Amino acid sequence: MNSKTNSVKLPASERYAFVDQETLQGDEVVRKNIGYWADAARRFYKNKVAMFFLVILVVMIIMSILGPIISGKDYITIAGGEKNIAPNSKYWFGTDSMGRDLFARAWVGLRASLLVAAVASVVQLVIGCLYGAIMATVGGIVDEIMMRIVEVLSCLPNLILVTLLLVVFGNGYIQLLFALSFSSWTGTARLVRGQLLKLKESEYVLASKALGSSNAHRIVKHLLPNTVGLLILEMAQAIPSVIFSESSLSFLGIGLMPPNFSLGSMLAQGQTAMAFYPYQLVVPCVLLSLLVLSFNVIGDALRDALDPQLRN
Amino acid sequence: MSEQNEKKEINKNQPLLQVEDLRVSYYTYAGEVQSVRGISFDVKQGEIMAIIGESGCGKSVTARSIMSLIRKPGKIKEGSKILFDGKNVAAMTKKELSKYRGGECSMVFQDALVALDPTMRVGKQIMENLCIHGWSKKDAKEEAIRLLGAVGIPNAERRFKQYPFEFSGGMRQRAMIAMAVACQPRLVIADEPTTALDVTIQAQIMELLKKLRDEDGTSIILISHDFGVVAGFADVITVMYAGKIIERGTKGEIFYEPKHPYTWALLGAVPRLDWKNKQELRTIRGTPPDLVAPPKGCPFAKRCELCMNVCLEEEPPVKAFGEDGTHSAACWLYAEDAPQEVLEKAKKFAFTRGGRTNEQ
Amino acid sequence: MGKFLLRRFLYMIITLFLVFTGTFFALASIPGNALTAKIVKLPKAAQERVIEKYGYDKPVVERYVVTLKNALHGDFGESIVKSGDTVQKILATRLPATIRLNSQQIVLGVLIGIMLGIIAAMKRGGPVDYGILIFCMFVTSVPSLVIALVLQLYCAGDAGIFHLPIIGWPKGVDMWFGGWEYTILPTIAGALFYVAGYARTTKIAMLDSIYQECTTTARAIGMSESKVVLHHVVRNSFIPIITFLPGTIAGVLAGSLFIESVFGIPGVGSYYVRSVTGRDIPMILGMTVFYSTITIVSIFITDILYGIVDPRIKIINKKD
Repeated sequence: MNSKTNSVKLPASERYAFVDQETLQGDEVVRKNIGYWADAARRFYKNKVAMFFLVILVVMIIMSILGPIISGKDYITIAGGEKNIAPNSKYWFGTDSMGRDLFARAWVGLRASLLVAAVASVVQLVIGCLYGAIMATVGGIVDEIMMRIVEVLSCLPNLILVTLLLVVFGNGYIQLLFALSFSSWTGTARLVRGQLLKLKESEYVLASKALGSSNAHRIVKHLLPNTVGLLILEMAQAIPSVIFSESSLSFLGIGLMPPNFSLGSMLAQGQTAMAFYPYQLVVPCVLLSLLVLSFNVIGDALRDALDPQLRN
Repeated sequence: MSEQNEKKEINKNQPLLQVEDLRVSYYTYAGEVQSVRGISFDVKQGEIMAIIGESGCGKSVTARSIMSLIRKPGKIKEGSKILFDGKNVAAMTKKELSKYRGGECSMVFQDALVALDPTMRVGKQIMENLCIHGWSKKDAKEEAIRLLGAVGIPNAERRFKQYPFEFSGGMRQRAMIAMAVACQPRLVIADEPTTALDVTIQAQIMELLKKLRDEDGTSIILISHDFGVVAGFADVITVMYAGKIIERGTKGEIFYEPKHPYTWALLGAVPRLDWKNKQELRTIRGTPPDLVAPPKGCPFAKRCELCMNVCLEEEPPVKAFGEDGTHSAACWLYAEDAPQEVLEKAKKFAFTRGGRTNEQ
Repeated sequence: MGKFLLRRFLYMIITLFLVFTGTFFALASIPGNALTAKIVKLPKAAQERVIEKYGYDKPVVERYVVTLKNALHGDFGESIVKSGDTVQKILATRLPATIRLNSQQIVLGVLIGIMLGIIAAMKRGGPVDYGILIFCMFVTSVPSLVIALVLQLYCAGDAGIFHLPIIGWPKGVDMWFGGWEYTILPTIAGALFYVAGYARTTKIAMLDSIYQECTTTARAIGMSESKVVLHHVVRNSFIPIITFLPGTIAGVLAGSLFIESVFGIPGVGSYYVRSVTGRDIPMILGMTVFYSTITIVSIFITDILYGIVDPRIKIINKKD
């Protein structure tokens, strides 16, 4: 700090005077200490691409609420005389084969896709966590049986299981949500079980146990922080996959049924008119892709930010 | 073969490896970590040199630099020179480098479990080394089995076909050594070869390495954090601290006339048989400096019990002791213009710290 | 090893049995199915005759026993919607299209994906790596459904760039190795998603192995960089890649539901969708069992492959 003032050579007697040991701090910390979460957040916020897509996602969420109001036209009114109009100043995204405003419909469809994705992935995570945690903590025969159930469920391709559930429970918002989350929680359950078992066996948890920590302390201080990151990533992965499934189902006509509709059902409508009115297909295509892209980029950024192994 | 031996004889006093002003940095987001900060040393033909230091002092980085194995984000800085038998390692072509690595200079790693490919049979990995350096497959297989036997692995034929995880720790390290010496290199760098092993096996492995020197005249660089088992086998000991060499000398000089306070401290931290029962094992307080922002004076100053004003401000001069110049230390205690009482205090202090008096 | 395989095989049978049972009772609990729609217009006597024909006059448990017995012989009953259709017949006529489509998708996706992954790992940090990264991000984000539709919109038909057929599938002699123009677009549409997945997995696995200590050892014995990659990196990278195979097979199977519908391909997927919308119970049951059989078998095969690639696994199995 005061190197400048000391640059003039001191007399030998002072130069070679022993320093008082008390003033020396052998373990002075030079590098700033950054906590795990603070560091993860710093990394995430530094990722410009992710920030860009976060803004896009926020805009899309806002539009899915306000969009239909902005255009001033509702999305159900059928205007017989104004069918299949290409995008213009009155109908910004044009109209569909029944003369409905596509701008309003696109945002409402997006709203449905978003809502389904959000709810289904949260439900999936909650079920998966609870189930996985029970397997890991109870263990023994219970674990064995529960694991068998998971295996039986996961030997059906996801989309097939969803359709099967929809056949059994019928169509509708609630049924679709249930089917989507019920078909995908097994992966989360395995993940949580594996992670908890790994942590339980890990040396630092054993060390904490050896130091006499309480169960609660270990859960709060070791198990949770080491699982939360994983769950955030699982969520980031679940959302796009739910959006995929939902749009495919609605496209095939086994997802949301009229009058409800999502981007997937708009795709189906667009396909029928594709040859003559391609914009009817392009609008939902672009929105759907942009939505998934935003979630994927953000999810990737989160993974980079949360994975401590990548830290150097 | 015989020609090579002759050459070895001729070059006996010529250093085999010369390292001059080696500087290596790692560029991380926290900044430039100056792992090695300008070190120079040389290794003679048939010499065992030990590099001793705490973890993170730059010993492994030095070893990898010699093998030219530094990878991003690490970088050997301009002006560093590594000469092997007069050839500049940094300037080697890919072909030369391939001959040099494994052929003339090879490495034994700390943990053979991760250093050997887990999915490849042990014998095949030894064969690989031979095949790269011009052996035919058939000869290489025979030689690999012979090598396994030579490093003391029983049932070499059967062991040849096994995977690394089927070996015990000591056996794995033997296999690792067999692999390293397969092409009769002139220099073997052993990076903490015994750290992952039991104490009884440590000595066996060290004996094996020593035998290698005694029989083939191979030079060995031993890297360790331990003054106990490892350093005892060395001819020359180099003590590193915070990326610098702070003392260097023959085994006798370092063990019996250590000069640097850090060496005193290290030796004081090793339990000794000739101590009386009540003598306490000494520890060094504090931690090594952060090499992102290395201190401008002596790196050890802040932990040194004989720290002087000048130590915190200026880099210590390197002072050579004795006639033949084998022993040197970088410490202000031995500066030309240092007052006599400083030296007196140092002597007194050294006496209480495991080192002997340094009467000359 | 043999004992291990036998045990896994038994597990497989049990799982299949559970899938069958679960699906049967779930489907049996639906209040209305294809049968209700079919008989609604018939006179009372005829109604009873039809109900009897499909065995719906008996209690559920008895029906279960009968169906299970028949299923063991591969007979899942006749379609309610279209008389004469049985699962066996549908599989015989429609499976070739699905198998060809799916295997083309897997080969294309896996090969290109692994290739891109290796390139990205070798050139990591460079513009090529970023290019591949962006491409992967793009193809994972655009749903294969959208890709299928966009390909159909811009590459097929008279207005398309390549004038490829919009819908249809090779028949007869061309069933396996001909009529490529029909198969190009559906193959690409289904494969792109997996290209990205495999590229990413391969790259991560390669980087993991590149930074493994054993590659440093290989370099330290003078092995050239390309040989290090070939001998140690690629080999070790296959272990995580193989774990993804059953997921891919299940994925392309599920994907064929809508890809076949979009391109009008006469495969199993499009038939399944039709059965589902028509609530054709016997067909749904049979095809569900078929789908799960394929998934389970592919998991089984992967386990074996895994043991071959990673010797550490084999030892554990031996002890089993």
